[in-house]
Amino acid sequence: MKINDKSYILAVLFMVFGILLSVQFRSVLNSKKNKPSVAYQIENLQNEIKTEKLIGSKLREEIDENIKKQDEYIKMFMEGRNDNELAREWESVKLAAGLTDVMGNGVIVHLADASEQLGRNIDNYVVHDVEIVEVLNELKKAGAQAISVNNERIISTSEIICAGPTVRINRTRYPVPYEIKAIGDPKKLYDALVNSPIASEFLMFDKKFEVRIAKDIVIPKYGGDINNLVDGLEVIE
Amino acid sequence: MKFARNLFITMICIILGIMLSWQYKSIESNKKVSASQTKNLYNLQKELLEEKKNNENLRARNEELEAQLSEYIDAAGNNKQIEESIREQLARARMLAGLVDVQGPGIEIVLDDGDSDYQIVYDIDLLKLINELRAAEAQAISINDERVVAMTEIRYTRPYMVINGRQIYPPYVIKAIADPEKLDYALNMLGGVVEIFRDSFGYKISVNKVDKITIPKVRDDGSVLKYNLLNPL
Repeated sequence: MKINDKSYILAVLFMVFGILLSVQFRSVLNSKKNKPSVAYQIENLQNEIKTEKLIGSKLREEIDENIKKQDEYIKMFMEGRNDNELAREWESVKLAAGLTDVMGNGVIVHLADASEQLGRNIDNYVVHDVEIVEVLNELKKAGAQAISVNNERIISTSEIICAGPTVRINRTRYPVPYEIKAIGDPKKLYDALVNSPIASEFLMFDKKFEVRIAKDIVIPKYGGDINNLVDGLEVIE
Repeated sequence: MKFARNLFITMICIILGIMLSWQYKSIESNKKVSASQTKNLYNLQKELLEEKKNNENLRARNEELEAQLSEYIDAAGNNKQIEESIREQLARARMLAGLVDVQGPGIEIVLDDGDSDYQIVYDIDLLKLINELRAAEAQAISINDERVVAMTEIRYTRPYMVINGRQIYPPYVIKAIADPEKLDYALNMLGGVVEIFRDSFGYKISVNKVDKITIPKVRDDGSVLKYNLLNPL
C-alpha cells in the first residue's frame, strides 16, 4: 500500500514532467523553424522597399523634367501666338490651382513625435493626421496663401490621412517628421500658431512643435496628374 | 524517515511548479515575439505594396506627360492642336481651383448640433469630415454652398462657423462630388466618422447618395482667393 502510494505520486510527477518536456521541445522547434525565415523575409522586404523608393525618386525626377519641357512648349506657343489674354489666364489659373512653384515670406513648422514616451498611452506621444489638419487650419485662418507638407503642395483635394505608421498626402505616403511651409504674413502666421491650442497640446506631451519665420520660402507646385482629380466633375456653364 | 520523504516530494513539487510557470511564461513571450515579428512583416509587406502603388501612379503620370509632350512635338506648327490641349488643361485647372460651378454624382451630408447644449458641432468636426471626404477622393466639396478650396479655413465662433470668411449657421449641408465608382467606397470610409458623430457626440447626421449634385464656384469677390504674397517662379 505504501509502495503503491509513492509510485502513484511519482508517476503523476513524471507524467507532468514528460508533457512539459514535449511542450518545451515543440516550442523550441517552432521558434527555430520560424526565426530564420521571418528574419530573412523581413530583410528581403526591406531591400525591395529600398529599390522601389529609388525607382520612385527617379520617376519623380523624370516627371519634373517632363513638366518643365511641357511648360517650355506652352511658353513657346504663347509667345509665338502673341495672345496675352490666354497667357495671363493660363498663369493665373495655374496659380489658383496650385500648379505653379511659388516663393514668398512666411513660416516653417516642424512637427515630430516625442523623443521619449513618459506616460502609458503611446497615442499621446505621436503626431496624428488630424493634428496636421489642425495646424494647417490655423495657418489658413491666419491668411496663408500657399502651404506644403514635406514639399507636397496642399491643393483643394489634398487629404492628410493616417496610413499605418505614415500619413498619406496627395495619395503619397510620408513618415514622421513633418515640415510644413506656409507663405503669408509671417508675423500673423507665427502668432496664430504659437498661441494655438494645438501648439499647447504638442508641448504638453513633449512633442516637437517648432515655428520659425523665414524669408523667400519656396513651395513647389502640385506635380501629380490633375485629370484624376476632376474626372467626375462636369462644368455648369 | 517518513517526514524526510514527504519533505522531499514537497520540494520536488515546488520546483516542478516553478519550472512549469516559468516555462509557461517563456512560451507566452515566445509567442509574443513571433507575433510582433509577424506584425513587422505585415507592416513591411503593406509598405512595399504602397510603394509599388506610388510608383505605379508615378509611372502612369510620366507616361501621360510623355504622350502629351510627343503630341506637342508632332503638332509643331499646328497651333490649333496645341491650343486645344492648353484649353483642355486650363478647364481642368479651373475645376480644381474651384473657379467654376460643377455638377456630378455625389454625397450630401446634413450635420446639426444635438439637442443638449454641449452637443455642438465644432470646427474640428467639420475639418475631420472634410478630410475624410478628401481621403475618399472627393473631387469638389462645399459647406452650405461655400466651396471648400485649398486655403479654405474653418473656424467656430459661437454660435456660428466661419468658412471662407463668411458666417454659416447650422445645420451644415456638406456636398461632395466623387467618381461614381468610388462613391460606395467613400460612403464606407465615412461610416466610422458618422457613427462617432451620431452615437458618441450626439449630433444629428444624415448621409445620402445623390445622382446629381451641384457645387458652386468659390466666391470671386477677391476675399477668398488671394495671391498677392506669392511670387510665381
